[in-house]
Amino acid sequence: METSNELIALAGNPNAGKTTLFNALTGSAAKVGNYAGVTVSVKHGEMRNSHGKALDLIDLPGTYSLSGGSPDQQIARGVLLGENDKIAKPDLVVCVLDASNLERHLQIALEVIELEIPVVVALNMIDQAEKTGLRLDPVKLSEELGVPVVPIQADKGKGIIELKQALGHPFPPTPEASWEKGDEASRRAFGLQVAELAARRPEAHTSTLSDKLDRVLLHPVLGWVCFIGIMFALFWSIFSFASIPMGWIESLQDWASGTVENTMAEGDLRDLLTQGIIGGVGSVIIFLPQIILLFFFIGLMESSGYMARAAFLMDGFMAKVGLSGKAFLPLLSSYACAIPGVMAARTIDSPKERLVTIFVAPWMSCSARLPVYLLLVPMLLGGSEGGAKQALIFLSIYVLGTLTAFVVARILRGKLGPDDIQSHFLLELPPYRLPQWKYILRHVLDRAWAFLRNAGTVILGIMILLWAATTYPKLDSDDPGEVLSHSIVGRVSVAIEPIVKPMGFDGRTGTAILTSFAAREVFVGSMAQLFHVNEADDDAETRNSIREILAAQTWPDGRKMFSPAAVISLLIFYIYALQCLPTTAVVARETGSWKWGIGQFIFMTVFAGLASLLVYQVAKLFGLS
Amino acid sequence: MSESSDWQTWAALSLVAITLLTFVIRGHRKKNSGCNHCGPENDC
Repeated sequence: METSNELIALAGNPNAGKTTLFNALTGSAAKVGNYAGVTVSVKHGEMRNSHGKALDLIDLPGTYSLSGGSPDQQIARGVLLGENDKIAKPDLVVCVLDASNLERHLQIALEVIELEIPVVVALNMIDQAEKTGLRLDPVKLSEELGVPVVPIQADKGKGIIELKQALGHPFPPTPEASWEKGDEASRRAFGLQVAELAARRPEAHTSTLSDKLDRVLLHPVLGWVCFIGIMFALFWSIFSFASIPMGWIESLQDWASGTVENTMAEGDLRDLLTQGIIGGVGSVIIFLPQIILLFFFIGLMESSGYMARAAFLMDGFMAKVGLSGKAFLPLLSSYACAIPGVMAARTIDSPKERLVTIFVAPWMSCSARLPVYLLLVPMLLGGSEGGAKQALIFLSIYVLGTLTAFVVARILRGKLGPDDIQSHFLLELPPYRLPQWKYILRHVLDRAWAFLRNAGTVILGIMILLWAATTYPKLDSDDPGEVLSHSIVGRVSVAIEPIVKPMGFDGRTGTAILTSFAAREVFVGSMAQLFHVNEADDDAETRNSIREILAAQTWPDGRKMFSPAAVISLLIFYIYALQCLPTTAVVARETGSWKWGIGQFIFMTVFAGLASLLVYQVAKLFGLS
Repeated sequence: MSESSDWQTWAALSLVAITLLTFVIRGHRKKNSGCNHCGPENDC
């Protein structure tokens, strides 16, 4: 960031509310969550102080101390010490402290004060602190630390004006440490003494609502029952609530297709518009309501504080596979998208554990797989959507991906050997909070827009090219099957059918899998195109849903093509295959080597193919084909 | 081949060519731009 503005950095412990404050000061919509480790890179923005002066603001990853070893903490330390090549040393640091955990959060503020940079303390979440009966004295705290202290409630925007006033010119003078600089014991003792003076605790500990909820949600048995129940409810809702808006999108798609067919004469452009663009892209967009619901529920869990509880529950389990609980939050993030998950692995101190976490993260079923699952799962149950059985199959799919990731992590961890740096898992269990609706809504809209943009760019492009490949070279025939066989796709299908047939797929399904290596969602659009073109017009009118078209397909010997064995085999392939080029690129960057990115891609693709082959052959033995 | 289907074939082929070209240019530009794969909030 090359501006002449003065630079202010937000620093503090993880989950102190730095990003919420960053959003409040800059008007940005950076991702926030009620758990530690959401921010793993530096975020930049611009704000104005109370005099209207423009200031550059950076949001640093949370760190418990300036000697932390994980890559995200090294970034924060590098910037604060002026050792970062790309970011100048800040002119002022705003230390964001959680008022309800003042003793612990003060330590990082004291370390920053030792750096001899002007400091302002933002005492955040004062409402939470006061709810627990804590009596805070910001004036006393300011006197003891020698820096301005501003009580704020960043999520509600309270105290922001006062904070902007504290950032007015001239900046407050550089504070002087009144303890022995560089001596951890002296610093710790001073911090405890200041906390004692500035935050008076109630005589007896009163049990808060969070304590009561945690007695159930963190219970060794009840906690797991609740976790599975919450996940089941999530998947059931995704199926049930989305059916109405899906119907609207389907009607819109039919109307668009009908309008084009009624207004244009027969020809290639009309076919491209109806089959390629409206049929192909539309079959992917139809799953937008489910994507919105998935991200809404993820946002709800992140914002309420439940995500941290899920990590806590998993900690013991993680230890058994050679990973610490710290690895679970990156893995949880990967359920939305593997990329932020891979990046969140920066919070892990141990390089080997970080590598293993990055390697298995794409096995957590990301949202791009959702359209594929949503297409295939109802086919296992006779085509209708909704219901407990489908939710149960969905839950099993996610569990299978997760368990496989853990088994491979165990093996890989054993192969890599012990680590010089041990990863200590210190998980802060934040109090439950009412969800930040504004951010959840913003986050859901961002993800929905990303999905639509992907559909309108990459998927649209691939659908157009796929249409051309199913149409050319042209054959003057009225039989759609013959036309397809003569096309590029027809020839590719014939060539790859011997490879994919043992997995239960014909050449067209194999081609659809090939097209989805650019993006998984493409599979749904490709299947819609490749199987629609082979339909006689009369049949296409009666079987307008892609699932019905697929269910009607048969092999030349009359057997059902999409038998339960073939559908399960396809599902297995999509659970395990890494069909996401951006993930490969980010893995290469985060590990510092293309060897890992490409190795992971090859390993996961081969693993998916072999698992799919095995499952189909075993299912055949049980008569499911 | 009728006149209508003739212009439609050319129009469809032009769209296919533009798409191919866009993919090539996009791929080239992507090397130096951010990822933005799953929303704007990830600085990846």
